[in-house]
Amino acid sequence: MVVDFGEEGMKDAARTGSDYAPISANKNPKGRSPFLDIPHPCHYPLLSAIMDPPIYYSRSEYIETDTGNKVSRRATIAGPQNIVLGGKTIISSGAIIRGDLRRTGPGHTVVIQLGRYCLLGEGCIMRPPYKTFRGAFNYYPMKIGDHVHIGAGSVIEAATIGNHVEIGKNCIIGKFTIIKDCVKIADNTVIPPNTVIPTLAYFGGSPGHFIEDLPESTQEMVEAQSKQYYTRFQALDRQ
Amino acid sequence: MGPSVQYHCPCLSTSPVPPPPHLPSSSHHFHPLHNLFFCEECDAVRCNRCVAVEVSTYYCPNCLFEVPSASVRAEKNRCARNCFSCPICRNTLSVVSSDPPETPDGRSSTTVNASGEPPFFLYCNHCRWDSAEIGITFEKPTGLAAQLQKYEDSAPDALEFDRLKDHFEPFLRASSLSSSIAVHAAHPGSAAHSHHLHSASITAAASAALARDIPGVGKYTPISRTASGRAHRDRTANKDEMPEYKSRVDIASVGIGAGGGESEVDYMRKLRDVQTVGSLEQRWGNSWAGSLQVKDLRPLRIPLHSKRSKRCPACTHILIKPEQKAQSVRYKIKLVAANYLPAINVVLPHLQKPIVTSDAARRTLMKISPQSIDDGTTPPGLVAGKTYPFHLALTNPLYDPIQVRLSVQRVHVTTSGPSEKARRPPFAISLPTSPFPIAAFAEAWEYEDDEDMLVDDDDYEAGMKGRDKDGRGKAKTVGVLERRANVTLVGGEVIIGKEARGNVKFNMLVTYTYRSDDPTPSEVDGDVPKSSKPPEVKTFAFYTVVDLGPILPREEPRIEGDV
Repeated sequence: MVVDFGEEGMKDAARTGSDYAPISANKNPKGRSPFLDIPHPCHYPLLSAIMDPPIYYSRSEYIETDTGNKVSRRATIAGPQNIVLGGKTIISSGAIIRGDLRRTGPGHTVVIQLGRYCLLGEGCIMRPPYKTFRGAFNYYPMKIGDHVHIGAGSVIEAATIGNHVEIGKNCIIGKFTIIKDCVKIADNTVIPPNTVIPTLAYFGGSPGHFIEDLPESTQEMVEAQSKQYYTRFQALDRQ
Repeated sequence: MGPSVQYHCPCLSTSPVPPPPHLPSSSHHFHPLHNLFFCEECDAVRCNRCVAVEVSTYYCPNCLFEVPSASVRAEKNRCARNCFSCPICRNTLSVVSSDPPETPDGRSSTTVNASGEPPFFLYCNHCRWDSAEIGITFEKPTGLAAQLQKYEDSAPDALEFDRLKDHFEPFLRASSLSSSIAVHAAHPGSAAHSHHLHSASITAAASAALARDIPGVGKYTPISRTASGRAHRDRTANKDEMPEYKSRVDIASVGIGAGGGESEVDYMRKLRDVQTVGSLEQRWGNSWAGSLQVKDLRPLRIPLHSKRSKRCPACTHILIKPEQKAQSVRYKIKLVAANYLPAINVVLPHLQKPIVTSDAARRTLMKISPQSIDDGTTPPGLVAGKTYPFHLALTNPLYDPIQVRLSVQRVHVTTSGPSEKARRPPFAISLPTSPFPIAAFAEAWEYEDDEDMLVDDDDYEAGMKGRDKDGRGKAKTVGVLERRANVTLVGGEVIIGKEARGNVKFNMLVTYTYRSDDPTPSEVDGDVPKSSKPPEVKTFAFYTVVDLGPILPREEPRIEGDV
């Protein structure tokens, strides 16, 4: 299910040259702008888009991979060969992913693994956690599940983030934090290192603490929202 | 916050009509759709306030250990392993070892054992508090709670509580045996509290105390009690046979700061640094009015969390039954209202602007459609004295098509006082009055192909007219605007009075008819469908409250906007 982002895609992401050939639209027809067909600006082809306005990006800014990942050219992707994106994941501009902070030792390692339908907001920083264990300093891999939305300006150093997790804006998720499935973290929360956040919990504050239980249907809601966000996230071409 | 729709739960009330939205009690009656449950037996909406709750699993939110319910009580509802919360900031504490001894060559030795060097202590990663400050250290890094057990058990509050428990135990056991059955038979609703034996016996004791004979007052005899001989035993158990309890700890003698007194006042008088006084939040979790000082705060074991199953309060059928495993998010039974009632989303089209992620995208959009850019001139809300269209998107979760009818609940002038009559609802709502269909829900893969197809021409035209405000002639705003898959978009209109204030908020009755899959079970249950309809068609009605947002005064339209 998890599809490797592939070296080509990531190399593209790192490339900033203007001679970049745009990825053809027929690879992912959903990325096509509705404006090509419809002159009127208030008409969107999807009802979901009618209820929630589309989010437009300029096509030249984003790279779209075969599996539907959309990666901003203005994001800093370090060590792309160590990063795996699941597909239909959006990496916004200004985000920094430190795939280069890998475990010492030979061989190929996956440093950061993201699932499907994830969103990394603008200016997010993802950095694998590190510690000195038995006198040896090392980085440890970070694994993030499906349908994980991370708000703008957050810093993530978690060890594991489950599926269907929403993290607000300007949060700090400390080193080796374990976030289970269906968790919501309020804006501006600071989660100290080594925290464990159980399922269906709503966390907030500094230091982050349990606020309340989330409803039983959180999983379905978050899934619908993250899929809808991907649909709303559309390219806008110059005419 | 944008405009919202919330759903009404009658909570076993006899009147299915919610209070008018301008009353404060209105907010208590309405919930987001995703927080509601649906009982198939009763054919009714249930909410978290009215369901009966039972604990199915206890677990520690930090170490995720599933605590057997037998040991929960003995461990006082807190984690009995290694989980402690910081007395200063409530963060989870971690166990750290002391620094390894320095080797002669000046480097710390790398041949330490895996767990580190004793003594171990608790350390807060957030505020840097450590337990060595208050003299708590450990010989080994595991079983910390057990190592602290002796301190905890010898604390005056724990001793006192145990003595109180011993004192009341025989009495509670007697009364709970005799009356809990009767109480629960009389009030099935109180089953919500019975998951906890402790509280159950307290309720039993309280009700037994209320039911005892008082000289000169007429005897209260509920039928369930007189029917058996229990009432008699109840009374004998209650007749002040309990010896008087005397505390063995005198609060004033415990020492400085143990729950008020002169010494506390004295301490506060000489106070130099307010930081040395613990905040209410820091002291709140203690079971005993302890010292005011921060230095006397102790780390507390982390309280357990629970997974709960939920039952319908009327028929006690299970609505929510989680899987046994604590960290699973799956449910064996999950009857949520979102699977039965159409979901309604409301938007104000004049506030709907596409979001642009970059300046380049904004410039491009400006070229294509300048009017769709949010240039900051649109007031962020509804301005008094104007008329606005609004859209309701109804999504059908059922596998059968439904017919929906919307109607705005009239605010009953009779219910409000004469002074209220003066300020009538300052706005008028128009909605399509005739029923309209919503197509059946199909699985996602059935939509996959036509997902980015264009709307067919009829719908497209209707949609164009509906949303095209500055377009050709008189636009159609009220009525069905568009239908696509299992979603129907309906337009409405709100006319706001010139002197209007507050929120545009109204109750809306949603009635829908659907074809019942299996009419047989409902007949068996005596759940008769509306007699006027053919037997295979059923009708369900529910109330919602639609909040379109605040009305801005006309003079300064941009001041209080926070949308």
